[in-house]
Amino acid sequence: MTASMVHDSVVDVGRSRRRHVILHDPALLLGSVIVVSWLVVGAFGPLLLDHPPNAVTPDLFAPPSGAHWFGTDGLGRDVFSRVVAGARLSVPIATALVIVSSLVGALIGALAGYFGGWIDEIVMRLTDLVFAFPGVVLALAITAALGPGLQNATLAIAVLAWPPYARVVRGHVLALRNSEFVAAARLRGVSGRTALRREITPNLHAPVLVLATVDIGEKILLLAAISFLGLGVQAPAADWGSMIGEGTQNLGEWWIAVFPGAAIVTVVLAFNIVGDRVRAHLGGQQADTAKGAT
Amino acid sequence: MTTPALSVRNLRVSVGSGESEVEILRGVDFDVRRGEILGIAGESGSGKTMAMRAVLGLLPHGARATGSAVLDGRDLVGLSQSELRTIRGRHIGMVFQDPTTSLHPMLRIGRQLTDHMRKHLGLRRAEAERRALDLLDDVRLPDPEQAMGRYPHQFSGGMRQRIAIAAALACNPTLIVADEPTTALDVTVQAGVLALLRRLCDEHGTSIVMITHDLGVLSELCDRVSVFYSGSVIESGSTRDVMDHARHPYTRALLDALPDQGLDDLRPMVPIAGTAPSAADRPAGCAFHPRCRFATVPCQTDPPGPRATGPDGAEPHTFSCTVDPFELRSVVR
Amino acid sequence: MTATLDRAAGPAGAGPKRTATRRRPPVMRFIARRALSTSFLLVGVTAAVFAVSRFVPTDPVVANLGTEAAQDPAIVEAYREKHGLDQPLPVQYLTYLWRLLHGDLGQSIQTGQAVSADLAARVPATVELALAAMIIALLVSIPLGTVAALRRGKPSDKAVLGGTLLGMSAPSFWVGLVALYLFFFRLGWVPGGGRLSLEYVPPPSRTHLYTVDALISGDVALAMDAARHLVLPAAVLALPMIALLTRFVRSSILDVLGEDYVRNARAKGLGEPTVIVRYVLRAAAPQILTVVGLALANAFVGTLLVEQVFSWPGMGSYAYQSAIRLDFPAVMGVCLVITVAYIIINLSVDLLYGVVDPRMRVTT
Repeated sequence: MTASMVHDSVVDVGRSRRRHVILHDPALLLGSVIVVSWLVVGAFGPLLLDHPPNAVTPDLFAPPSGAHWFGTDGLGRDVFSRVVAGARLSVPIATALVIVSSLVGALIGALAGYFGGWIDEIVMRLTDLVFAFPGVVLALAITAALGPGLQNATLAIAVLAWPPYARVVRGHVLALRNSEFVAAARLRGVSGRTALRREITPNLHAPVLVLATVDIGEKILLLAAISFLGLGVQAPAADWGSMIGEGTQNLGEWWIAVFPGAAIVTVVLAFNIVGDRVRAHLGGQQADTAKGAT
Repeated sequence: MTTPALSVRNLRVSVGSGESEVEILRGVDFDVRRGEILGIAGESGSGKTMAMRAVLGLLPHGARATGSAVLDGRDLVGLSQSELRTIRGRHIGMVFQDPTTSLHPMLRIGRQLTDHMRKHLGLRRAEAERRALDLLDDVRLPDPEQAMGRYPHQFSGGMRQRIAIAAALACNPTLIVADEPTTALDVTVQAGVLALLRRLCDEHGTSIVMITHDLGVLSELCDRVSVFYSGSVIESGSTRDVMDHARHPYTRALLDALPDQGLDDLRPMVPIAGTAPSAADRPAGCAFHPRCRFATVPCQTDPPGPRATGPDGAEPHTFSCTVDPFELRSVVR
Repeated sequence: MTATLDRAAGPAGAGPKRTATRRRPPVMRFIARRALSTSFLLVGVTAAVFAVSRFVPTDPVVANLGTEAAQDPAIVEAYREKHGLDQPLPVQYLTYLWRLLHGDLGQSIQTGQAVSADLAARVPATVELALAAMIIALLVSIPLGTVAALRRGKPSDKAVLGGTLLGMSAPSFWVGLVALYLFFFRLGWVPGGGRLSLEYVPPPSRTHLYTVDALISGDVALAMDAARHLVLPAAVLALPMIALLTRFVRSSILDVLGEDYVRNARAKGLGEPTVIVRYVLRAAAPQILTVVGLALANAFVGTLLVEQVFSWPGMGSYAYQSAIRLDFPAVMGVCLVITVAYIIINLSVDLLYGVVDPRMRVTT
């Protein structure tokens, strides 16, 4: 999923340089490899585990060893298995969440930008409103209202995830609507709406993509935070955020919290690196053309 | 004749290294005499701004300068940044193109006029402010007292440029470098700023280097002119000689590209074909030959050296062209 | 975390343009416009909170009376009438607003006290923590971002950028836990949680910030103890902010470094420290002010996740404890307070632009 997104971005950079870019940017390569590895772990990892992630054993609070690589928790469950099983939750959910909310947000933004007027006004005030709420707080409020659980947490995050996309896309649509090449398309006899769809859509891939890549990492963090607060994924399901929450109770047994946290860091960092590099490549190209003009 | 205020010899600026080394400035020579205004003309990218940045030690990252630039008997090329800091602002003042961006938008005028005075001249705050008031008066800014406490956006473009000139003049420098100081201004205030520069030059004996692509400014203001093309000086001499008897085809083309200024001169306006080469893919031989109407085979291989026009004027007038198509033509015409 | 980054992305991108497009509007009109949009936001935020609390699947009657009492129609009716729940929704909203204006945030199910009273006891602790975190974040990120900008593209710049990426990727509550394990459990350098050690009594209240109050009353030992308790949670809370703000400062400085007036300052022969501090940082000041506002706003939000780890008796741990016990009025109270604080901080930052940037002031 993510790999193909990265791929798309590179297509935007320039078809001829596509492979070139990803292979000649070690950071981008590393980030992509980590992201893909986590997706593979999430997909196939749980099938290969020696210990089922929810199996309770009498071996409580065992430190990391050959038998339990990451030790066991207060119920004797294997932390390694639970970390692997956790990859099945956070990463795909956050990715799906971002894909859906970016599409919805982009659509809303495009409509607002294209039609303008009161539609635009309403959409923009609505995004203002969502921006006024700190994300964690709104998610906390909604999950507290709807009741704890993964579904409600995801819903809460989704409610506040679309506005950045709507803003970015609206801005670009506004700029592009008045740009020369849309005017040129109109002159060729293409209708305004067709011109917008045909000429604007390809130009929106880059900004939305950059936003989305970094956003997946953020959503993983937010999801983990809500679960950490006990409002997200519920016991006994293995989730990184809730595992850290369990670790709060048992400070001396550091392995309970350290490993799921490290899992979050690696996957979020990987998404951030990919986002950062994609931005650098797309932005760098703009900078190059600007430089050429001087 | 006294020594020139600034004497530049064989100044070269290059960026990159090894294979990718590009020479932006290819060994230029010029003198700025005391109390004169030297015009440096050329298209953007010709190296005219780069030359003065090299003199000031303000080259962009990765650019290196060689050669010499002697100001008051001291070679500036190769000085350390800390040594250069005692010269910039003190012995060389700088006026930038756009006073809207060259003055700090959030600092009061008084501060921007005095901070380098206090550093270079060791003045106390009150002394520096007194001198700043005199300077503002000198550049004909109305109500200097009040102006000191104001911010740049509270002045018009022309007034801002006068303030920038006052700042350049603050430490009574030997030389002021003015980089297209009127380009960003309304046409109506350009003349006032030019007249101010001329008067300061005459009254204070300050030398001025006027970087411009505006030949009108050159002919009005400058005593002598050096024309840059693609990193070299291709023609230099007194303004009158260069404007009236241009010898290099490029200078000639520049003049032909100028819209007619008077009714008595009915030459057609001729644009220069092609574009100026970038330093990275400069043609061999004479850099101007692909655009030159008079180029011959040797022009494509042999870089022309400077030659004098002959002993017909008191001022030396040199140009770099092997063909010199105007040698005969100027007589015929 | 999401909102923090969104907000950061907003002003970061809009920052330079903002000053360019908003060409010195008359300051009164500017204030009026911001005040208007802020009041719109406040109405919207309270309406949203109200809507959430009215349309939740959990019936507020059941939530507040308990299941048993809710069985009795008479009690329910009496309750509805008493709390105006039989009124039409807009009236209910206005009643709700009226109560909010009088500081009535409802009653906590968990503590049985007024939420406003619970919060009043806890807000100072959060303010102290957030302010400390903001100060740490600014002290680190402004120099770090400046140095990175000046060394753009060099290994040190890349290391700083990589580090900030790492800082943005680590959940603060996890970092807090790891830090607590290392510095308290293993090394014993800091206390394990709370605001003060048991043997100390809180200083006489003036600012309600223990460190400041202790210093005012001249009790150095007490101030030291309070500071020792404060430093680790504040540092942990500061970490994601440092990551974000360092990038922000770096890009603000880079914007300014290319400006003509910086070249002009160098052409005037001013020393590099003078150029950086007086010209570059001064020009970046409005954007850095945004950073200060962001830092403070984010600190308040971040306390939600960090306080619990350090048993810090503030709003954050109150929200956590209320959330896990489904104490809905308390959670909504915290959300409202934090959101309003967030909005007001952002408004103040916008208004402070006028102080920092002379172009925003009234022109004569």
